[in-house]
Amino acid sequence: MTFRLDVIWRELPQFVHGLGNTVWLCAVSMALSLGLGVLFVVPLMSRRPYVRQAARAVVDAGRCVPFLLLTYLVYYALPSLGLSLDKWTAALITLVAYNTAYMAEILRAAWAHLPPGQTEAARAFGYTGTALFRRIILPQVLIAVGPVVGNQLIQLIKDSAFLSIITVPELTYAANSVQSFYFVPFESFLVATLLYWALCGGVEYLVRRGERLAAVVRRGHGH
Amino acid sequence: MATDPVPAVELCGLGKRFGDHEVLADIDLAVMPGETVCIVGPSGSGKSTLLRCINWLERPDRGSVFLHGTRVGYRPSDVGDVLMSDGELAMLRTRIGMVFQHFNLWPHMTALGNIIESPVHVLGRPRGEAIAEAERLLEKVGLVDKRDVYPAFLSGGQMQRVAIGRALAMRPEVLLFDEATSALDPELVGEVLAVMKDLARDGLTMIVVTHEMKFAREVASRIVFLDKGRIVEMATAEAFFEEPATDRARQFLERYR
Repeated sequence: MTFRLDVIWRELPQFVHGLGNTVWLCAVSMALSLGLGVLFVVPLMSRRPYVRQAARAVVDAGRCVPFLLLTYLVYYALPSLGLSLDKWTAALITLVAYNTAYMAEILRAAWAHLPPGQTEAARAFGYTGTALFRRIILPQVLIAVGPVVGNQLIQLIKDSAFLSIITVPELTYAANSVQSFYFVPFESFLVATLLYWALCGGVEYLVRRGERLAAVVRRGHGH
Repeated sequence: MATDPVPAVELCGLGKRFGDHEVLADIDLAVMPGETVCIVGPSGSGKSTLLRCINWLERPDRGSVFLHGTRVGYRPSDVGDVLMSDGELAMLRTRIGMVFQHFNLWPHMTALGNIIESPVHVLGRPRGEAIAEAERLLEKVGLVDKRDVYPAFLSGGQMQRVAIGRALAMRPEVLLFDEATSALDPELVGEVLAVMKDLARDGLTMIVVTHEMKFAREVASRIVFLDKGRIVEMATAEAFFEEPATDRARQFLERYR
């Protein structure tokens, strides 16, 4: 077989466009779900059992649906309830809903594993409630979760390929269009794979930087 | 000599249980302003719990704690004393400084950040003023050059001195030390004790849980000897170390000779 580099070269803009869409969809949904995860982690760590259990049920419901199925639900099933979404909105909602459940759980685990001393010291110094969370707990949690959030971002980038099913022109969709138009599946999917590798490699690099910061903070716990 | 008849800290009939285990019982203690009271005793005798009951990090089951006459944890109302809200208790805690065994510095803030954090964000002091005071305190504990360093890059002794600075920045009415040197390598203990001696000399009211008998002997106005959750002996440092009144205290002191 001949490697059709010429086709790839000609269709490069389509790949770049697809990659761009993958990047912004994942970046925006990651930021949104991290923010929502922060809101969700508070009831997850509530002292009141019924609040905690209700939050846990919602989070588990989100984590235990296959991403593809969630995409179908949002894009194909919601219209029968009278709620039609365009593919971009559906894509974002699916990514954010799915990922928020994971973010909340990641943040909860990090919070639960914080050494209790720093929080206790904050209480002794007059902190309570929101100020305690915002000034003392959350910063430590966010630094600690850096590497795990990075891994979750890689997961999200890979899951986003399912969005090609609802014709969102992201990277996998672009690769699929090129291969079906020119009958070059090997070339096209190989290029897409390389681009996913590069993207995840970049995230991986940031994760390692974050891991160093997290290590500094762990060491600062003084144990 | 003492013109202020109101104790800085007063404990009346304090008791605390963890399940079936009675950790503290019938604790009566008055600490006058300017005193340094050292609490000594075997491990598990309830020393740390006693200290933690003073600022209600541990809520006592029985008895009362007073801070300059104000009851900690309760406020008066028409129907008698009622439990304070979280916010009220938090504001009262700002009047009591605390230094912990494991320092418990906030690892995401520099030395200076740790010191100005609560004055600015809890007491609402102007940031510039808090920074100026923090710099003065860093000088006092000998760490001016560590101003912008994160806890991860400080030694245990340095962390504990920052923690003392952090407590002093609140201008507390009383400062509690919970085994402040127990987690330190032996060669770092001295630098922390030196700072504590300075504070005692300055007339700060201090309640110090410690295993450092030499320090207690030198600095304490009074020694409280705790065993199995009860105050067994309370005396001046000289009396306690020269002529302990009870066998239990004598046995305890034997181990430090």
